Amino acid sequence: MRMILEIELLDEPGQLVKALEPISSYGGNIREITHLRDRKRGNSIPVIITFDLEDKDKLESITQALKRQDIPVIRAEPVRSMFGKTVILVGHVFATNIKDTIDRILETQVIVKEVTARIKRPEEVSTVKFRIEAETEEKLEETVKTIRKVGEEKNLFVVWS
Amino acid sequence: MALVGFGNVGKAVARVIVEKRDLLQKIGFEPVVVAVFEKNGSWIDENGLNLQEILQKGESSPAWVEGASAKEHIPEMDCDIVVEMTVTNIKDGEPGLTHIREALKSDKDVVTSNKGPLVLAFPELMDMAEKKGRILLYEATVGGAIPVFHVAREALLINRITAITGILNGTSNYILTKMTEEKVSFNAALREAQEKGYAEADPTYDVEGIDAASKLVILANGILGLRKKLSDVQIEGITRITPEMVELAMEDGYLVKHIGYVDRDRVEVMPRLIPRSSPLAVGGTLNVISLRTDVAEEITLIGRGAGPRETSSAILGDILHIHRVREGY
Repeated sequence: MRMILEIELLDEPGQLVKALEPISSYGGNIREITHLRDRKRGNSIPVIITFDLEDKDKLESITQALKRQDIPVIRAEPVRSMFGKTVILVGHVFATNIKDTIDRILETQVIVKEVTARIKRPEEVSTVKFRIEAETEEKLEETVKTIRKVGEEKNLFVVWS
Repeated sequence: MALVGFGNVGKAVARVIVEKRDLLQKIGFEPVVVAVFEKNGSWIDENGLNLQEILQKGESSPAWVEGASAKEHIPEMDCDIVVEMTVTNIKDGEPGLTHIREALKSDKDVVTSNKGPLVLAFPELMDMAEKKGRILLYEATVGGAIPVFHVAREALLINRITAITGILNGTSNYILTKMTEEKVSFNAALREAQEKGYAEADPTYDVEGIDAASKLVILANGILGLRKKLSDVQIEGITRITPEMVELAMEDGYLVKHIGYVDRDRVEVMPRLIPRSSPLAVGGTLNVISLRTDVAEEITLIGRGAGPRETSSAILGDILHIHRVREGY
């Protein structure tokens, strides 16, 4: 399983090797290392390491080992591939309780990454775009079904990718 | 051969036959047209009409018979292929439906560009053709010049085709392309389409998706072997699309397109967001049809969805196919 680890390293020789040691000792296979030098604060640089780890429970042991070496761990988690979809609604999206519309989208367990609206005049229809993400395409399809149902109830015109 | 319907498409077929006489001769096909029918009468000569003369002189050609109708002449006529090209009517399919029935009943092969009869009576007409041992081909009914039925029937024979996606109406695609390129409203784009002659004075069939749905029904029945009717298609037109929707879609790399889709569970025509890099993202009046298959994966055909000369390419493709089958190729 692909893991992503974000840590903070001092900008000094030997720091990276020190950080990589626990990963390899727990069986991790390094795929990529990125130094975020533009985000350097003081003498500390954020570093993102992606690696494959067969036993995902070992991630916690790696994190603990890094902390014991006083290396701050910002995040450590499995990499999830995300699927995205754009859904656009046209109609009286605001007058028909947009909060309720968003709540019902969120109930389907997707992430709403972006909401963009184009509003002309209150009496005219508005156009609202949702960018949604989920771990599977099936989940996105389910969400589209929900949005279409909401659209039918509220007389909103729904178009999706 | 008998040509039924001598409007723009009928005339284009006649012109291309005249134009391509040498090529046709080379491939061993010398068509003899014994009758050309139009609304008020017909040109009839059992020894073969001079198409060029009919095209030039019209009703003043000596072969013109005022009042002679296809309906009464088809049954007794001595010909192998009836080419039905009258105007589409999706309410009752007439007069095309009667022409096709009469032709099959009297043991003639049929080529048609007329959607109405196929949308309304696909199973009946196919059963009739099969019982009679006749061929009924309809390439020109969907996607104008695009040879989708030929490709599905011949070149993809080894494949199981599981779904069909496409843009099946050039008028609505033209309107959506204008809305995208010029950031104008639906009504402004429609007016321009009407001025350019791409849209009818009453654009309902095109912009409400009825024409596209009719074509989807023919694709579903003809290629997927389903038994769909027009009322089975979930249809949403393009009239509610706003310039703001087109703009917001573009920001995410999508185009708003009027898409027909059919598989064994679903049959629908509706506006969808298509990635700009998709082969379905064709502009202007172009049509596109994509077949999902189990061996070849996706096969996508793009071409002119309308125009008399373009459509005549599909009709002559069908005529030549029948010629080859009957000649035992």
